[in-house]
Amino acid sequence: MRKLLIQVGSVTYAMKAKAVLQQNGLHASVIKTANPKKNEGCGYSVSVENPQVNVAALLQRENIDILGTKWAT
Amino acid sequence: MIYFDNAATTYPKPRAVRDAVEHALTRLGANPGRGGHKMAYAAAEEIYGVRTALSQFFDLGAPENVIFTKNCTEALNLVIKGLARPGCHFVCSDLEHNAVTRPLETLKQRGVCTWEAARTGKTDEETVAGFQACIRKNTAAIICTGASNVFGKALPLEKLAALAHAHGIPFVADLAQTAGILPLSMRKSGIDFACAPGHKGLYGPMGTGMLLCNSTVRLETLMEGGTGNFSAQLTQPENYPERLESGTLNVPGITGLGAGVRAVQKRGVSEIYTREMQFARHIAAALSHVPNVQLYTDLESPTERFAPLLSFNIRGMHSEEVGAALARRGVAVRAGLHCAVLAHKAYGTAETGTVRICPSIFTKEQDVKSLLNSVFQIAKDA
Repeated sequence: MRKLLIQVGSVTYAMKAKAVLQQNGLHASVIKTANPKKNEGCGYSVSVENPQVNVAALLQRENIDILGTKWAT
Repeated sequence: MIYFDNAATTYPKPRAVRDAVEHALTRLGANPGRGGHKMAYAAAEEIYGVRTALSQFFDLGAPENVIFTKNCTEALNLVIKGLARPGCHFVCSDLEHNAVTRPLETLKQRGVCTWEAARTGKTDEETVAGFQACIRKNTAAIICTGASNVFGKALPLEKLAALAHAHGIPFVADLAQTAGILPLSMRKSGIDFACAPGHKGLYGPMGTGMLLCNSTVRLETLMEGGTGNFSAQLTQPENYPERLESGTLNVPGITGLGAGVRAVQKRGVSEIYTREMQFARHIAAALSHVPNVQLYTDLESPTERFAPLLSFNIRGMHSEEVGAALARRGVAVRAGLHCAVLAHKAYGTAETGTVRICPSIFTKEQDVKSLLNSVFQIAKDA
């Protein structure tokens, strides 16, 4: 199953993103960001299983800044 | 013990609060927002859940703008020192706690800013006019208590927020005596920053408090350090709440606070206020008939509103003597200046202080009877 990994600014925003996505019927979980960028250091991401909607739009509507996204399997 | 010192901290706490603290100590023992293991996630989930509960309780609309502190004083320091700029000026009320006046005076003595206390009046209009008269071109913010921690007098926060905004400056509210007692919507009230204890009207453990941010005005930091994010940067992150929450959070305390807020929500703020006010009115009415007693809180005033607490003295006795005499009879109150010398000066009680009585959701009619019997006896012997 494909997963979209969305990197956000903190564990608080990761928890908020998870709540927003779950409220919209998506299966989401918080994970530590694997291989964070050199100038950022540790951080958190939200993993969303096989999203069929525009996840970025959902999160931005709730003032959640997205630092980066990537697909994983 | 018969406990009427609830304005200092509520006691006892609901059973659910004690259970929640124990749950956190036994099941949520990892550092939230740091690790990537199961218990760290569970702790982070719990903390975010309490942020969400507080955001909903105060109608803030943004869990990330709930900043956890160790008490209301720390929250006030965060916002006052976070807003202070060289050469600026602050206005507060003449009923403020030292949690407001000491940070302001410290900044003044360091040559950073000046401040003055506005006179409060019997009506909202008089109070607003008192603040208006103090505002200068360089005023950085208005800071005001929701209710005096000594006399219970509530101040018109929404009207003062409107005054601040008319002058293009933020409004800061000290909710030490009103959080969980008087209903408040951050979004509707116009309050930009609100500081609240977790351990008073919200029934959380001591060592908990919060700053609620409802403003785009960026606060400078009071403390910097590890936040669990952007760790490669030497500078403090910009995003709330981590920007203002360096170091490990008080997970057991915050978990307990979450249970406290849920207990207050279940009971209902309006019902809590009504019940506690009934007790306060009963006590005030009874004390008003005692010849030796001087009551300073007029709960029946047609123009003023009050939080459910009151202050009195027994003529011929220092307030501390009365407090000690009550303590010997097993009644816990707070006597003295209540860390609010400005308020005592405003009411002319700075020499003797006052005896303060504050009920809680756990107060029973029998407690009130015992308190009154003790005061009657002490007044009779005075």
